[in-house]
Amino acid sequence: MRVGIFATCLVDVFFPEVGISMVRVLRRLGFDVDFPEGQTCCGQPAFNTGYWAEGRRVAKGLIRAMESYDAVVTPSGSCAAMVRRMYPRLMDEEPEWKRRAEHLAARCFEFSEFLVQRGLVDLGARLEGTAVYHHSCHMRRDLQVTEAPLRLLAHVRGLTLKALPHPEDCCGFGGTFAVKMGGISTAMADEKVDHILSTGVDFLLGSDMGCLMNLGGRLSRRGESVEVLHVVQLLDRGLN
Amino acid sequence: MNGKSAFQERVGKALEDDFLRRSVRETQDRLRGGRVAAAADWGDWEALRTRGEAIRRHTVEHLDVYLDRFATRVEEAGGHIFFADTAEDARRYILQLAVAKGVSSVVKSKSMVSEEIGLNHALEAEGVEVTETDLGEFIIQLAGETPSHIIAPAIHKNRKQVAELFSREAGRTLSDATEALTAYARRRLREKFLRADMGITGCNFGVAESGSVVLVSNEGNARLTSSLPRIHVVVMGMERLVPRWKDLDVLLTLLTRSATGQKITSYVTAITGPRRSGDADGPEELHIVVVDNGRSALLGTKYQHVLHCIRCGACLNVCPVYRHIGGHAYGSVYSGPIGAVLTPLLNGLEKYGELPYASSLCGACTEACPVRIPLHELLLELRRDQVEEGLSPRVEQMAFRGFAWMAEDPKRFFAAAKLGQWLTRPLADEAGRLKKGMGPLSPWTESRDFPRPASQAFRDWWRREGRREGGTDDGSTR
Amino acid sequence: MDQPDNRRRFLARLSERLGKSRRESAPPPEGETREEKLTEEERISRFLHNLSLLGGRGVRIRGREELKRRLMEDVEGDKASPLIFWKDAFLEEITDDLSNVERIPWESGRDAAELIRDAERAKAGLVRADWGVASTGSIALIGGQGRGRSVSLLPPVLFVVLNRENLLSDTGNVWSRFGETRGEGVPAYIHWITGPSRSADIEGDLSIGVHGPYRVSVYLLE
Ligand code: SF4
Repeated sequence: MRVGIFATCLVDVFFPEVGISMVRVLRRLGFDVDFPEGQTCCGQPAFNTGYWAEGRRVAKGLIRAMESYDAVVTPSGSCAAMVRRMYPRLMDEEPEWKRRAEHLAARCFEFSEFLVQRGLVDLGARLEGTAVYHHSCHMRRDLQVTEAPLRLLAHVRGLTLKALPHPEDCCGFGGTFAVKMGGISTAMADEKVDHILSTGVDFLLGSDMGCLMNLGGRLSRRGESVEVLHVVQLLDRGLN
Repeated sequence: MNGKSAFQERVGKALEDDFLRRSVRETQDRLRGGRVAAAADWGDWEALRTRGEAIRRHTVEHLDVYLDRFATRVEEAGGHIFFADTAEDARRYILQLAVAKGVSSVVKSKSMVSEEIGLNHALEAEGVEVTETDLGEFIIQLAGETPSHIIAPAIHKNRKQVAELFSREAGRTLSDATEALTAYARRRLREKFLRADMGITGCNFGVAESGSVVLVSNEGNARLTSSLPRIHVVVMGMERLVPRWKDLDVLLTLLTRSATGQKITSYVTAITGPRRSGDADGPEELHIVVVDNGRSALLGTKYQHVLHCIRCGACLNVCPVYRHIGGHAYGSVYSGPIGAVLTPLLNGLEKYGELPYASSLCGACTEACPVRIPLHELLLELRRDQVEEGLSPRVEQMAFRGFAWMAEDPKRFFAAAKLGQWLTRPLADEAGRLKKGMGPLSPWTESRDFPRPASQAFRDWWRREGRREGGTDDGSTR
Repeated sequence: MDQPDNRRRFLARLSERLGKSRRESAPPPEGETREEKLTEEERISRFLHNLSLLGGRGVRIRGREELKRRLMEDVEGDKASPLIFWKDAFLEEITDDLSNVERIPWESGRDAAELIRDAERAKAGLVRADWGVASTGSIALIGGQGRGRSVSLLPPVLFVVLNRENLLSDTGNVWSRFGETRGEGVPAYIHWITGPSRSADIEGDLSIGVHGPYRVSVYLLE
């Protein structure tokens, strides 16, 4: 099975280590992975701000880059939701592109979802520590994936997962929301950070670098030392 | 774009109001917790939502038919019905009625649509005394404010403030104990009820098959308002109908459980026509004012399902934005997610264009809505309309055109990333974090560190080693 | 104001906006109605439980004599004089022995303003429920001759007699009795009452009796 990696713009530009971990974990599990360099971004920044035409241009680029793979795997619940739920709608007026969008939508998966669907839940990882997992809203509500990352984490030996108060609440990222409504966004991040700190854990885990960048940025500004990791980074670390 | 907009001003003020934020949080937690428990208690909640959604969809799709039937039944039962195209028409009808019938004092029970049409001011301007009788509404009326939550209008007021307001009204100092304040309100409002010539209520549901009006309340003020004065006026949004009693049962269950987590409110009142011959109490006249005020413009559009709303407030109670800014920041009668959708639709994007952006698109509202209105997707649609109608800021338009131009081509995109990496070098701390940003990034960096673009992008790694590593794999691919 | 024209124009606008889909006047969607098969005992215990959750008082009463006795105790305990009640032979009979209590029947023939003043003056109201509902702990009252709305609303204390055979499982069982009826076929009011009047408008703090009765006692007559 040829797996195309859709790294996402955030990982590609700001957090390459997440992409590297994902490649390593997938290869260790025996997948034939490839990274097509025609990709950039899924187009959400434009689309979510109301710029559908601009979002469509970017989306077409991603469709072109990724459509030939058997499966496309991405370390982002939000971008996977964009491709799966919004791409077909975005192409409503262009039947040919709509068909291509649907084709990609049907084979684009968020990382943990991809593994768990294939029964790959115990990767043999081991890592001592306590952690909370933050469900990103798009992954939880739009993609409707909540259990998969937890199942992967449950099999990491030595890791204790603690419950986060109000786990259903948004962290305040919201893409351009974080700058258009900076004050509200910060208030939301602060409440989430308070909840995280109340658990006293070593790691904050998540499946979306947007949320983690937001929470990590607030944590470090507040001088807190909770380590922020993508699930795939934790697994990769636990496997070495 | 110099300075803050009125909306941003209100948001800024709300964010600094610690009491407001604490009480909104507590109210939200109480109400949303109640909703979750009540849904679990029901059992197959999703099936009930599906049914509620189907009833609402059907009713709105056949609204002309059901309103027609409703009106006929109202008249058969001896009531009057008036169809108001605009807020102005509705106000005028009620004012004329008040004048014609020599009304000097009015009691009201909570009604969002009467807020929407600005009824109180209009009546007061004619010299009619208007008293809000819901305890929360009474408080904010004394304070000269507007409701900040659909079902808990005075959550932004603390007991001290309430005691001050009541003391001023009473002309003596009252204690700030809940019982004392409630007892005062009971006495004071009872006098008003007994004197009032006209009672004005909203309408939670109208039952088309019998022309009945259904009101829910916990305090019982809707019952008093609709029982004691000689004239009862019902102001209802035109979409508030259900076809049959059977359907009412489904929607009432969804409404009360979603609003407060109650299986039923303390009072549910269904009124059909004015008092009958031989009745010694109940209104002599019943007038129902059906309000359009911009709603019909949504029929047949992608926004039609906004009219499915049953005003339960569940979306407010789960909204993280509402949680931190409360209701007044929205600057409109309807707040929270439903307000962010409905207000620009009824009053124009020109004036309320920021509201669709007052959301992180987290989707908590959509998940909570008992009749499954896809609120966060409607916010996306409104943003789209805003952009397509050319109402978004020029700088932003240019920025996104630039973004698309770059993101269409990886070479340009990564040239920009490299440029960003280079430009931000002097701004970063030793850990590579940006504490101060430029231009549009500054609202982020005011409160949060921002990462610099990595010196080696993922694609650089892939070219240098990633791709090759793959080649040295043992070959056992899945 | 020309009402018929006003209505016609308004509805025509809606029809036009809705397009042609609307006149296929399809019947409203049907769904599963939950038929809860409860035994009478289950209904009773659920009713009493739900009523108590909301701060209402429910008591099982065996026979008329016990009802009279219990009512006398409660009237005394709640200092419920004057007592206003619906004009109804049964209620008159059971309140007959209440000496020392000012009894006011709601007589439809009397002056309306005076009746309301009496209800306002009364310390308690007494009514007979048409139905009770187990799933919510509610009672339902419907309008009719001698059944003043004020009796269950103005006095601070409310006594309700509910016959056991009128206790139904679910709210739907009551609503479904009002099918399509024209004009006066549906009573002028259907009032559901579930426990005392309540409010949480002052700092979310629960307070009882803000407008309606602060105490509600239901006598479940077996
Ligand atoms: S939009 Fe839905 S959740 Fe919000 S008030 Fe309306 S019905 Fe309730």
